[in-house]
Amino acid sequence: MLRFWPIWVLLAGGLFLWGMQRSDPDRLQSVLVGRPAPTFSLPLLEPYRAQYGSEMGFSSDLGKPVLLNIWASWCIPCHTEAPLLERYHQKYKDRVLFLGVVVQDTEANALKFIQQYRLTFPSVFDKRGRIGIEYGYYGVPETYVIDRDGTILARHAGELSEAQLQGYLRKVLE
Amino acid sequence: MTPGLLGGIALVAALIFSVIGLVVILLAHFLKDRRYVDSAKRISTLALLAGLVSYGSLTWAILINDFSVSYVAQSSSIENPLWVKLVTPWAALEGSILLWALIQTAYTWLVSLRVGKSLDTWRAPVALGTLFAIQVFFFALIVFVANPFGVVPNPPPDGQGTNPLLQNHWMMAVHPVFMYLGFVGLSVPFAYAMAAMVSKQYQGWIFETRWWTLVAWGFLTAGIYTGKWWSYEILGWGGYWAWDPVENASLIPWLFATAFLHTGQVQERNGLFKSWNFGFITLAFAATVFGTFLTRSGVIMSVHAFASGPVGAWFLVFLLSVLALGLGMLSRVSSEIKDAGEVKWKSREGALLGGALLFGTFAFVVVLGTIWPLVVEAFSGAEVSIGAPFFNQVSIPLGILMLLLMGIGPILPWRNTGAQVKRNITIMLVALGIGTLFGQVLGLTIGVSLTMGLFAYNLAAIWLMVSQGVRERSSSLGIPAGQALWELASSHRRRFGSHIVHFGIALAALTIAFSQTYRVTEQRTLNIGETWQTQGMEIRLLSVTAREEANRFAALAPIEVRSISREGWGSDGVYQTRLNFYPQMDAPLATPVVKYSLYNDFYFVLMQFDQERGQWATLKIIVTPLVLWLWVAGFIIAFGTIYILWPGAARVSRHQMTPTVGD
Repeated sequence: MLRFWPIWVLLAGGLFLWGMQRSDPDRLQSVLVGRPAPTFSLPLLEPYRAQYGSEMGFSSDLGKPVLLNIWASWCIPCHTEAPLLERYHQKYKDRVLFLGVVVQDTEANALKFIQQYRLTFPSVFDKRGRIGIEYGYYGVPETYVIDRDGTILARHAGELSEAQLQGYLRKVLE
Repeated sequence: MTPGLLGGIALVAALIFSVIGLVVILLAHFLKDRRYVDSAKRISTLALLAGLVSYGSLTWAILINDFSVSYVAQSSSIENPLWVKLVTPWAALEGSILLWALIQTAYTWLVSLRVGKSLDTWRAPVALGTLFAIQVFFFALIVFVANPFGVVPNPPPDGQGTNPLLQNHWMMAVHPVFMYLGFVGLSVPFAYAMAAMVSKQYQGWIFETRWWTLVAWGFLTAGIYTGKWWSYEILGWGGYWAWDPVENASLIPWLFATAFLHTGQVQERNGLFKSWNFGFITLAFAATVFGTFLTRSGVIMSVHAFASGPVGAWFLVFLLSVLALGLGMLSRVSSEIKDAGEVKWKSREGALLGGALLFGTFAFVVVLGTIWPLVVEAFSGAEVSIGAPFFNQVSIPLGILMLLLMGIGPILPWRNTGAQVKRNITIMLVALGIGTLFGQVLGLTIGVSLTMGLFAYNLAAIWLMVSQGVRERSSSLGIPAGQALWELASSHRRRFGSHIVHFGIALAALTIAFSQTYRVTEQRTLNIGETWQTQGMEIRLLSVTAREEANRFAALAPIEVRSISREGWGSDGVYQTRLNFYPQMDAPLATPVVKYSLYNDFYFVLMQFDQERGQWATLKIIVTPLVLWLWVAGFIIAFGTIYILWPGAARVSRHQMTPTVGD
């Protein structure tokens, strides 16, 4: 047995290496992908009311792709994601609706966050965790990409990189 | 200078010192020059100091809420109480690896102090070299892959907060530290084993290694125990062991180390089992790395897994290197260390080897059960999960065999069996029978009755050994029995310490059998003022309220409990059941209230509450017998280990072993 130690070591190495190549075992496939996005309407945060009204959300008659971003002010990746989203919102605002949903947060902290990054895309405040029930997100940040017909194209858990964001936008504008 | 900058510089310094230490000690080995060993000793002190400064800087950054340091921004918060801030350095991946590396530098430094004493200059370079190499790996990993001192360009006003599971109970503050002291501690026996194999001095290493292994084993035991305790008091499911991959990862090195502690005695005495000992030590250390790899790579699903990141691949490389080095060296020297003598099964050697083989088998079964889902997925693509049933099925028979051997082993004399031994074994078997029968008379299940029998059997073994020794001494020296006991206990610490540990293990086995068999769980929704009679208790819900606390939000449902029959005895009191909501977590965290009594253990968990009007609450109660005694057994095992390690004893045994040194 001991004479064959290189084989044992290689076998263990091969198995674990393969194990690490698999897709993340903790990743949950969203059952919503490929289905119509749930509709909702939530109160907008104060800075956006003048432009968009008191409530906003997703409804099937928007006629525009939507990038639904779920965030919270205490989440560190959201801090790095915010300027990126803002930049792309400026670039694409006529063709894609960027919509933020603030969860598990206080309104005051969310407003501070918006001010810090001068976010101009609208964000709604989800006080009672409705979006969690409707969309089943499991952490912040999380982004849902919804196409023109209201179908969910993708769910992205975690921070978006610029390349990923571009990829989603390309897909949704095809 | 900011803490982030200081910590980062100290970290790089620790890496550089470790690399220099490794180079210098390699020179010492190849040039056979003693002066290099002395330099390496000094360098190990510098590496320890640099590690301390780096760790201190991280703590400092957390204390002053410096969110420009990435680790602090991700894992701390202004609101955290002081004790949480002090334990935050090991609350997440980067900090915990830093703690690991720091402990490694401390062990390397301690070993360097032994050079010229028990560690001769021939073996010292390889032993220290192995430790320096491990240290280089960890510091390189921190500096290049998982640096806690990353700079946050746009520091947030507050951090993301500490893992709520860690904040919820003080036990979690000590559990990781014990685990690391145990895990890292096993690197020292591994280094000694490597040194012995390279220098071809196969006997001398065993004496001091047993001491180091016992230290690491003690910490590992404490780590496993605090983990169980925490899981019992926090997770709210009423159990303490779930065969989760990460729990298994802590058990595997413990089993290999236990095996070594037993076979090591035989080599110490008559030079047998050399290859077993090298093998067990290599596997024990490799198992610690395996455990770390499991938790950090995301290769297997587990409740404990840290976010998987690039460190997984590095740990895999490290694990394979340790295995390749240890097993490769062992296969190279295996022909030289074949056992000269033969082992009789009916002797102490035989029982010790048998015990060690059981521990080794158990460890392999746990390894196999842990990675089995991965193997199945690799070959068939199916995702399976091996749960507690599999592990329980194998661990019960193995456990029974272990308890049997644990009683018999110490009573058997070395080499062969004699007449008195046969009488002793008869007495023990009678105790086994009476204990089991007694359990049956009480109406207990056969498994629990058998465990009672085994407990009695082990008690009888310990009593026979102690009483016969005391009787002989008091009659030959003409002193009272009490004095004889005192003298024996203080001059034979190792033997008496092992009796204490064995007693602790037997008690733990008994409590595990009871608590696993007779746990009762019930759940019910109560309106305020309503009472619920169950399990000998009358429970009344007093109110449902909410409270905003500094770092969390809590829902409280105080209950009043009165015992109304024997079953509920000891449950009386008013208890504050609660659910804690942390902003970092989606789901609330239940904090069970645990009321221990001498027999039953009462466990109250708030499951749900009326969020609208605060009119009702759903409570779960779990009644488990003898859990208090499981923790008592843990303290007994710890006490026994400390008893063996107490400095007076070390001096005696070192004195005793001098004549046998010499390969």
